[in-house]
Amino acid sequence: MSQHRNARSRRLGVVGLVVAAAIGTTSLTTTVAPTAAASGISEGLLCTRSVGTPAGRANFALTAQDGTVNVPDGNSMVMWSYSNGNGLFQFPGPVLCVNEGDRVTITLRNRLQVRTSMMFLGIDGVQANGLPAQAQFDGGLLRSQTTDVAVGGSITYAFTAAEPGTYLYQSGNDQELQVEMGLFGALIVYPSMTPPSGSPPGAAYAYDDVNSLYNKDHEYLVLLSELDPDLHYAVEESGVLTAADYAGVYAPRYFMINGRSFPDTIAPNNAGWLPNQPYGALAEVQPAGPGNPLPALIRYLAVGAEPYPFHPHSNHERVIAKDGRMLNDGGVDLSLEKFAIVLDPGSTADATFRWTNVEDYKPSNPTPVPAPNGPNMTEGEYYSGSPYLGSEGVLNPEVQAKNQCGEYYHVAHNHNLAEATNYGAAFGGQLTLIRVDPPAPNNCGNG
Amino acid sequence: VSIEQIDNIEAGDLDEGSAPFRSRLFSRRGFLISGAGGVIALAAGTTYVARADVGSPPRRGKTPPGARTDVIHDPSVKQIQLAVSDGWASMPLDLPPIAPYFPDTLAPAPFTTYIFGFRNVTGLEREQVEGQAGKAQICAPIIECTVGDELWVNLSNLALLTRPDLVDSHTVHWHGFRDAIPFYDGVPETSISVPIGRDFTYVYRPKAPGTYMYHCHFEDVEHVTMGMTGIVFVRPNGDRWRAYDVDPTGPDTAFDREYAMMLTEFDLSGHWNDAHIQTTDWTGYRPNAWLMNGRAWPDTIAPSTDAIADRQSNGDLPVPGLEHLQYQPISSRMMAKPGERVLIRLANLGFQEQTLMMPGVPLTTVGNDARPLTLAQSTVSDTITLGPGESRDLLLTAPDAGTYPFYNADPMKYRGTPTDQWVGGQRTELVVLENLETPQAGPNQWKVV
Repeated sequence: MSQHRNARSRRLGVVGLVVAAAIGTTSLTTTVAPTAAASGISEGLLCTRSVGTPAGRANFALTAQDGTVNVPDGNSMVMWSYSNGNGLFQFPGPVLCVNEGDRVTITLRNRLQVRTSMMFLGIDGVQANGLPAQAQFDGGLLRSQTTDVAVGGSITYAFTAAEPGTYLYQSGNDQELQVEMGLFGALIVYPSMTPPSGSPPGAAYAYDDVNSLYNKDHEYLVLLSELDPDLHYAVEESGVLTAADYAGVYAPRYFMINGRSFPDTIAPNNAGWLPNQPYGALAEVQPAGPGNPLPALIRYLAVGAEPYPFHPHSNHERVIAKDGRMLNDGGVDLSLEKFAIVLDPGSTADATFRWTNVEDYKPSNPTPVPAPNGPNMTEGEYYSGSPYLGSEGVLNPEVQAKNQCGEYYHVAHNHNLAEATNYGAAFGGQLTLIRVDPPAPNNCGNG
Repeated sequence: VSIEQIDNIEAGDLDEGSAPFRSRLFSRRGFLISGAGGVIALAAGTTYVARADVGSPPRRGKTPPGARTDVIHDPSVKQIQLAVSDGWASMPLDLPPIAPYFPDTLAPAPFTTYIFGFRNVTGLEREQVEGQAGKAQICAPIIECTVGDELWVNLSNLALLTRPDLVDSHTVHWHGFRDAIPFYDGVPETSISVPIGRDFTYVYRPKAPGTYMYHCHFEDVEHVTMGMTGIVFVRPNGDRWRAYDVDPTGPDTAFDREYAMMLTEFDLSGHWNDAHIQTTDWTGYRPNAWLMNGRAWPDTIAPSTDAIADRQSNGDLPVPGLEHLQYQPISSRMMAKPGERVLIRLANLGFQEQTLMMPGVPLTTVGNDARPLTLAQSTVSDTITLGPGESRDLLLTAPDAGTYPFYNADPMKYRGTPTDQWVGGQRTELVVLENLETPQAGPNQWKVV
């Protein structure tokens, strides 16, 4: 049914890298550029790394400022977030990638109309302008959970990335407003341990632990958040709100992965039509087997007020770490395979994932019950028209087919199903797709 | 319990002279005597009559009565037939009225609340199946199978009688099935779904024991909260009385009795909106009824109605005195003898995280999301927390004879707010007594002897 194939290649988004790469700072001494975790990636975790700095150091310059984001129902909202240097406004903040042991320096410039700050959950010994970062008070009232920066000013945070893992950073000021407005992002510390030579291609560890082996070409970010559009309209109208303006009336309507709601979640990284939301959440794997022995890695982070129960279809995921620490007890492996991973507010988790074509259904090994005739079933737009991986069938004419090469799609979503909606409309919100490509050789352009 | 077994259970165990159950002046004997979940047991070698030919043309009007070509008799395949439609269920009338949402004035007596749901129609004749349109049940039948089975679940879409304007398809999504393919995963956008008047058969070859769940994934937020949720569990091969395979690195999972319990909530305004052709913003979801196996206390401890009803010629399963629970057939009452090991298969398909407690009775968590825990992972507590989409397998040793409540740790979720109390919500009981039928005939079953 080739005439129904979507003409848009999922690789088109590579072009968009140029947008985020256009970084040049004048007032800041550090040059920072995003680099992909894997070369040329349009899907998968997209790192921002320190460049031009000596080994053992990682320097970043971020700007807290406002901008706008889009949601799939056509709404758009004013956000506050962290931009990379003088780069385009982006939401969420850059995915900061450093190496274990790096001395990390982050200079934050405040272009918001309110004081703001950065705190790094799970990181010890953070310094602000050379002194230990501390909660700040005005006349006995809490102003910030950490050392903050005045309007128009700048502040430098520094810490040593002592432990590998997935961490959340966010504002420490007026958090029920500022974090909800978008002042958060991911920090990833890569371990110093490397797999032995002769390991399969792509082999990497997420921690200094052999149980954290994964394929670095299949590394994904799932950063979960929510927002209440009324709050954002109020900020747009008044510029600054006080707690009295939003306390008790908070009602989130949009639910996001990496700053996007489905179906935007499956658009490529740096998609041109989402200029301020650079991070996609489409996961792509091939069936596990001797030629593909390593699992993918999913790094989960949660921002929000309530736990998000995230349910990947297609197979369990093995949760190997929580909050930046491996799940083990003195060498006893405590990792656990889960079909629903509950992410509490402010928490992170790392999970490995693989999918095996166990039954290996194919035309020569057909499903015990064949697919009904076209009119006797309702077909989905991501369905290939065939039950078989790598096969394509004839779809009913009303289906706007998005399947490319007989690949499988599985959903992965928040199982508080009200949060897998866009303002109540189902099949949206915190939902993304896991794409399973047929093994090579295939017609998918990747093998 | 098989359909044949269900049909053979005596209905006379209820006291005919007792007052209706919903007044809670029911005879204690009446509900102590017999209970059984709406369980579809898959005893080896049992042949079920089920429609399985999904390649056939539309069912309605195509096949003359009596000329069924779609019945297969293959004892190696376990078959279940589910029908999907809308219908009416009963929430306790102690729940304070929430005008106009509760009770719904459209609801025929003795019901209160509009639902969508699956119904077990395994073994029914075609005319009986079609007669179940408008008779949805909550929760969906408990499905029981064993590693190594080939399980066929046939889904018939009987349409929504109260909402003929909705032409929704339906699916079965086996939540947590390992290495699933989209074709049998039931997500309409990534595979296929079943239109009105059509059938489809999902084929499963379960390979990992544990407690899973199933639900419709078509317009999932609506169909799930309207009631299309159920438990499916997989036994290890070769040991009927163990939750997981024997493993020296894990806790003992042997049990004497088992009870499956599905947790959900209702925002009654959403149900009313669906019945009254109104739309709902599901991001405004605010539940006001919390359910176990589709019932709120004290209905949770009433017997399983489908186990004690005489099936009528039209396929219905009413029980005198329990007519209001006809479409909420699954009991959550747990019964055991002192010292027996009881397995609770707990699943949450509501939208809220829940914490349940059984004060004074240690609950050992032996399974999590259909995976056995190691000794280092297994925990012991008299409270258990699980989020939407999660499952747990809990083992307890029945203490001395007595009644031990099992309820939501949030009082609002079992008895309402302090200023607006009602008798309801997520609350049930473990009743320990000596004179129980042994062995347990099947999950969620009990019989006082």
